[in-house]
Amino acid sequence: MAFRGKSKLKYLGWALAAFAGSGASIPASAQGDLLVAPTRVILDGSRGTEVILSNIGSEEATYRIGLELRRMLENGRLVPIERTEANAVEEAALGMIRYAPRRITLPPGQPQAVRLAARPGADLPDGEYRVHMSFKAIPKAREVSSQPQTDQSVSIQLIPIYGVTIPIIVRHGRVEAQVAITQPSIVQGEDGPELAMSISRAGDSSAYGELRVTKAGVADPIVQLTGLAIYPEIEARTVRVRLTPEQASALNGQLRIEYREMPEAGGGLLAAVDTVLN
Amino acid sequence: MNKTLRLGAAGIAMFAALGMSSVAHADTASADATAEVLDSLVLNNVAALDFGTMVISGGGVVTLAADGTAAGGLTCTDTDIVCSGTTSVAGFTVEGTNNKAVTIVLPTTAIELRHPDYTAATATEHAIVLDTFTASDNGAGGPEVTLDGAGDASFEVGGTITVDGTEAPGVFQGDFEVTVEYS
Repeated sequence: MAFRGKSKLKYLGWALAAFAGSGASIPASAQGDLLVAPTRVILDGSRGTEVILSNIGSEEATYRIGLELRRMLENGRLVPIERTEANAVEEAALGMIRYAPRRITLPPGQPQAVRLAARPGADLPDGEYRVHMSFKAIPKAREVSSQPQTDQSVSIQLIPIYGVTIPIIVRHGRVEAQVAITQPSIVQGEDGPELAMSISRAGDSSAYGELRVTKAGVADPIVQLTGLAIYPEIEARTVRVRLTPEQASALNGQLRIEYREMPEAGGGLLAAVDTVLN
Repeated sequence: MNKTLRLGAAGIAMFAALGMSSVAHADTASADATAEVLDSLVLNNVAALDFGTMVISGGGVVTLAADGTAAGGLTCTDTDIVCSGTTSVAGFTVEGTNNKAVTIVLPTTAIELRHPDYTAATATEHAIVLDTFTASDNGAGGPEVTLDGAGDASFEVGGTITVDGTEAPGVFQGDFEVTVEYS
């Protein structure tokens, strides 16, 4: 096990708490507001890691941490999948992730680390295995509002249970992906012009990176979409980006569309196409 | 993954590659410090889903639309339902990676809201159904919101309640789940 040392954790807690405490920019917040970092975990080998959960709300809150399944649709949306519908790869993924704690009560401004590691079985086939770790605030017990209603009115009290999920990816053995950009075009969407394209993917690995549309002589990318994932369950993903009028008018002439790894992952080129739209 | 620390960037968690004193400088220093910089994801609930108060004398529906088409999102046009009080759609803010699109997952099945006196035998008068959850960025492919160049986004969530006119006066309670999915 190679979890980080305790002193580091304590120290991180201090740094985060200081950040949250000093943040005049943090708006008035509700019970259960949360911060999670990092937003994506890749585990290869037996080394574990940790994810920080911080209570950025104004009241003490209890959070539940769980593992869930998601599948990506061709339009890039993630849809929840019940455990009873899991396929073999998803079951294997659920079975190999160890994490703790599963429930955390935090005072406002307080972070805590959730440790996690993968324990792939010896005979596990090479491949990419993925679960999504969910962080959700558990609502406090409600006040009993059984006082007799004096009038004949009906009112409704709704408690949102809200949270986030982040992907936890286990790369076991040798996995690869090949990616290509196809059919870039400008289409009319519900709210105006959209840049549309398809990114095809082959192989056992997901792809993750940054999509940029650039034009010779223009310094900044005209369109930029970061954190664009294509998971192994789909062989092609459509991408649609709503364009501002400025972007739409700038997308003429010879353009280059690049899909690169995120800068912190090296920024390597995954796919590129030179094209003229419309 | 070592990077130069960008000071002042919101929502960044700092790992312990640097000494205590360096972090103490973090508010003001312009010198480079080395730290592991992690993207973080923040979700805040900034407004409740509130249907206000209703006086019900017959069946009908009340809708809170998240797309901004009606004032306060409220559509309460059935003559047997009189709506009053302040209403609001649920509001959330997300802070995360610049220019990233994230999926929003809303309930796809109906939620039952229950009166404090609810029992199975009195379900008709002590339960109200809430369904047809919608998000403000309810594109053709399902709710998705794209964080802006500063990594910020907000979205609203609305829904529809259906009553049959027999509901007992009182406060009906229920909860619903909203998840922001990072990919």
